[in-house]
Amino acid sequence: MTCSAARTLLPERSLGTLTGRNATELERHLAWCAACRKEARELGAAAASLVFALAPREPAPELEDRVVAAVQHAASGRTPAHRRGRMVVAATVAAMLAVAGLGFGAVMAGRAARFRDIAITTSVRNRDAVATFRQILQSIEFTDPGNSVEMGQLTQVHGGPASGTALTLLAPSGQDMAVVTVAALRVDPARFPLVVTLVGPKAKVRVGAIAKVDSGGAATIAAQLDQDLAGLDQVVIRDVGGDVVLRGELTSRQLQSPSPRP
Amino acid sequence: MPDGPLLPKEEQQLVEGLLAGDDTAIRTLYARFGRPVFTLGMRLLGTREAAEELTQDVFLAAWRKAASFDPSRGRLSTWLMTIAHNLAVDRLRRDTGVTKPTLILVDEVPEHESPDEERAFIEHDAAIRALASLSASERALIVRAYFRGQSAREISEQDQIPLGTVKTRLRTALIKIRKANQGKEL
Repeated sequence: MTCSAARTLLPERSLGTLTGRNATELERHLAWCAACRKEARELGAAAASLVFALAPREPAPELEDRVVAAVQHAASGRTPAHRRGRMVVAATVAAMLAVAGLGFGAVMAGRAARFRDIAITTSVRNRDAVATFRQILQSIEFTDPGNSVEMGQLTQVHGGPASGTALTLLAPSGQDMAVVTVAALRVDPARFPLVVTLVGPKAKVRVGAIAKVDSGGAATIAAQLDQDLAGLDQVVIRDVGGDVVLRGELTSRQLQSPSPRP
Repeated sequence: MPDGPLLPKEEQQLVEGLLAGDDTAIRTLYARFGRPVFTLGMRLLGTREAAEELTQDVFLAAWRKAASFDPSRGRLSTWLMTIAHNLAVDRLRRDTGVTKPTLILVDEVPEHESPDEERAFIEHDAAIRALASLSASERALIVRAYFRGQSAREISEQDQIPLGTVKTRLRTALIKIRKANQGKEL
């Protein structure tokens, strides 16, 4: 969408009457266009001020207490705060590992011609991934004392240099998160996508699919799942034919969290 | 918290208080915005019951969206009124059988004794002046779009004028309101 097209839609967006595909495309445009975003803000403020032009009507006095009670009841669950913190976790983990993965790929492409080099580099990368997870979790808002972390190393089933790291964040709300990274994975492109699953004694949950790996055989997926991942202690990555490529076991990790937010 | 316009830092504190379920923060927000939200509900949805339900839902929605509030990107009043208006228009469009009262933009302004009431009077006065900067046809157009939830296409079809013309007029009207509001902290 061009800026010109976007600006013809901004008045309707500000007035709350823009819907459908136009609305979606406009939001996409606003996500990257600062100039149109500025105009959207200004027109939005103009439209919002119209509310104050209405002849004021008095709500019943008891409405205030109802509003306070409703918000406090909702806040006692604190789901948005958790979700916000968890989304920060997900975004940060995914971004950092994606960058790490790209860096790894570049290094591998230039230097790791031999199997031994690959194995060493992979080992270093996994150690770095664990350190990265730990660092992230200790430095950001992962503060609910009820939250817990499980982490594990993945190894290639039929031998070989490929490996990976998996991490799950378990929250009392049951809306959990999983991050899985693989490295040095050499798989025939015809065997993609690889499906990542968490498996427990009584249930299994599909985390997502790895569509491809970079030149270093690295990839990362992160998913927030509205499911309780507690008890799912096996990570299994299968190819498109159902053959297991990598697997590993998750174990609880004691990670010190920062002080809880008030 | 002062009675006048809030600083961005104060707005951020209020929203953080809302997120935490802080009694004082919620009551401060309600004192500032409860009545305009209720008024909007009365105007768009037509009954006290629907307006009260809307008011409660707006504050709950604000609590849910609190993490997205960024005072550097817009004022708290704009953010909250946008939430309120979007919710109200959604309900208006969903409940097509709702009774819509006659729009009253100006009527007797209540005596203003408390700081909250005085601020409401100033806000009301400023908004009326901004609307007065529009021509009669622009004002009517804005009222149909904002207070009746009519899209530009619906207005275009009803009035048999080109869609582009409706959009241009809406944009012109909003720009006039924006200019009239410049320097005023609504």
